[in-house]
Amino acid sequence: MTWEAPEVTEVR
Amino acid sequence: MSEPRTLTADSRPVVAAKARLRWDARSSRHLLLYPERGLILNPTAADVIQLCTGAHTVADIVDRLAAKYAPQPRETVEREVLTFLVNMADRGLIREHDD
Repeated sequence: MTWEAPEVTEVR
Repeated sequence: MSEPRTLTADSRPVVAAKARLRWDARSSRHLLLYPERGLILNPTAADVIQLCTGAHTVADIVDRLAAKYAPQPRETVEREVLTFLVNMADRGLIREHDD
């Protein structure tokens, strides 16, 4: 598995 | 006046009562929902949130994810997990577990 920085995207 | 955000490696983060983690099978993604809003989580963000039960310290969470995503350096995982948790605490979605 590849690590990627934890990120969030706001949804309407 | 709001409390300062002082998440450290010894903190035990827990998801705020107002938030709910949901798996959306239709889009194959995790959502963190709270009143009138929602956040789409990428896979590593979902990993972190799932471990925010109050049972694990930040250091525990980092250890688990560093093992899962080896050979990613632990220092990188720690820095990015802490940045993420502080961001989530600033949104009021993560708090420190009360002992």
